[in-house]
Amino acid sequence: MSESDLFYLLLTLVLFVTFLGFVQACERLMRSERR
Amino acid sequence: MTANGIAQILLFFFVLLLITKPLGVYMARVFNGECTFLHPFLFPLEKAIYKIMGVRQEEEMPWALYASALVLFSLAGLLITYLLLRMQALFPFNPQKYGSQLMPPDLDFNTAVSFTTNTNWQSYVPESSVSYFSNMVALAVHNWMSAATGIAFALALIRGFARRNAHSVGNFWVDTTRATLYVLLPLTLVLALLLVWQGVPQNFSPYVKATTLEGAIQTIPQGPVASQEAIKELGTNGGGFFNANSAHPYENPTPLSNFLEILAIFALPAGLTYTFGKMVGNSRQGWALFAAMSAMFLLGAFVCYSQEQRGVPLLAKSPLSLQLAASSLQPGGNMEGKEVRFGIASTALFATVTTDTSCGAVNAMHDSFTPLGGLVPLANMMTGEVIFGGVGSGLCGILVIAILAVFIAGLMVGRTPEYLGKKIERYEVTMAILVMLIHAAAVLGFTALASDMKLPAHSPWNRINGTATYVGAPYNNVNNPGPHGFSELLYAFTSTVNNNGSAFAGLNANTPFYNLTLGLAMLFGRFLMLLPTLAIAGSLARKKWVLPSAGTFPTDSATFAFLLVGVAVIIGALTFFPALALGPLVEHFQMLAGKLA
Repeated sequence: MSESDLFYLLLTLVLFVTFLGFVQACERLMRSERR
Repeated sequence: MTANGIAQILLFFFVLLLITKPLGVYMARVFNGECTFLHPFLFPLEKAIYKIMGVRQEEEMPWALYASALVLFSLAGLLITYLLLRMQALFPFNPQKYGSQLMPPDLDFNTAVSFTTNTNWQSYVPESSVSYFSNMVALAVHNWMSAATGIAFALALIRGFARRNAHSVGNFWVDTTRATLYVLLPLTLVLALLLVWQGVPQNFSPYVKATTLEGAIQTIPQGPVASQEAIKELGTNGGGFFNANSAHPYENPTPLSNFLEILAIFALPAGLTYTFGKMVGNSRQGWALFAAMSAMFLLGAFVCYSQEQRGVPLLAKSPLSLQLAASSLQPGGNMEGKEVRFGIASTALFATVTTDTSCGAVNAMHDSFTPLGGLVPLANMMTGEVIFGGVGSGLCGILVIAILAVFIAGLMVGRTPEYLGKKIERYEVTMAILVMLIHAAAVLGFTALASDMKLPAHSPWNRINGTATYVGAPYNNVNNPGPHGFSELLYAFTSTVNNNGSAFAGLNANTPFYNLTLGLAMLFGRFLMLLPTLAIAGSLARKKWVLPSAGTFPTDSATFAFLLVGVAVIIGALTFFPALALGPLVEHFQMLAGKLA
């Protein structure tokens, strides 16, 4: 496994964690709107 | 335009109209868990899949869990694809002995992202770098999974509209399993057999060496083409078995195969409009969406066809005095980059259909279209793929536009907007605007970056993979200077952000810079637009139903379809007109002024 492999795999993981965080942010906003 | 060409487009639309309702009814039955004629064969398999996966069919998910399952499922698929491509030399069905040196990490990242996101942008050359195993297991599997994911995405949003005071939008695993088993599998099987009948190969044989009449040796690639071709169209994926995609005679050998492929691209997105109407309890709602999509489709098809049939006026005035009018001996118009066996009308129709949806298969090189002919595919994608759109994602796109349309209509009459008995409030409009902003920012931002970024002449970020050629600044990767070159860049990022995947051609994108930026564009376009839409589904599902009143804007009428088209066109035009003006529009006026080389 080369450095490039690590770069692209880590980038993918960071992006998908961000997407999951985005889901949580949307959910939190929804709850605050409903209050 | 010729009568024959117009008849081809109208015949296609008529057949589409005929299949929309039966497909829509069938899908509604499948996704409501009702019995269909395929249940005796497939239900035991469905149950076995749930048992193996540990899925409890009756357990439903709130939107955030549904969205997280979708994201994690995509992540797993992406990582597996990346690793399979990196290690393809270790696997069977590789008669050409392709190894990982042909697919460096940046290209593998781009390819894995591309197939996971239903984009199927291909920076690699399929027939000379990817084994049969990689094609079938790493790539074609995504043609099923990403399409099924798209359908699941649409179902969640439909349930958001259809349910009242509900905290769940369905079960992601059940939706994807049913979409694959009952919808994609049988249709793919039928289409693959029809394509084999038309001459598309389906084998595992090594490539054939043939001696041409001049004595040269020609390599003729083949493989399991028909199966991949069928799901490529039905799942609006678009990634070809060959680099020339559906222009290749082994992917698309006859005018009939061409017709079937175009129909297959539109079939499920069109059917889903009826499914939507059926599931929300008013099929007229679905027909209103169908009408709006059809109006935009027909407009695009006829503009593209008329421009291509008109050809390039300069050629008639050149010393060659080329005849641009169609006659019994030749098709006239602009035949550059088109296949003789399809002609101009079928090619314009294919280009319009493939960019209306997020398919991206091509049967001609869009780079060779006239400036306004090439503008149509670009503009289609810039609407956000809402003209039938990708399987599932297109329906969601038009529903987001519908939310904005009722919001605008509500502002005009001073009432709280409603759609399908649900009040459209601040949260839904915020999320809808977020989708629009992410779309525009990603397309224009990445295009601006590639157009203006400076890189050192020997930067490894812009070295063409497999060669020692350093290109320097990313703008140098375009083959044409001036507005056409800008169109090539704009097309690439419009195509990837919208998960279309078709290429304008003329852009050498197989470098680390483009593989990375195009990969990011695909991921942002898929997930950052999909997740706010799912959030809308979750928010709507929790709402109670409001009885229609005298002030309710009817959304199953021709007026609403007209408003929908207006909002889609105005949003697209306001956002992207300046970029289009710098590309195809300038090129059109240059052509009329005789300033093109």
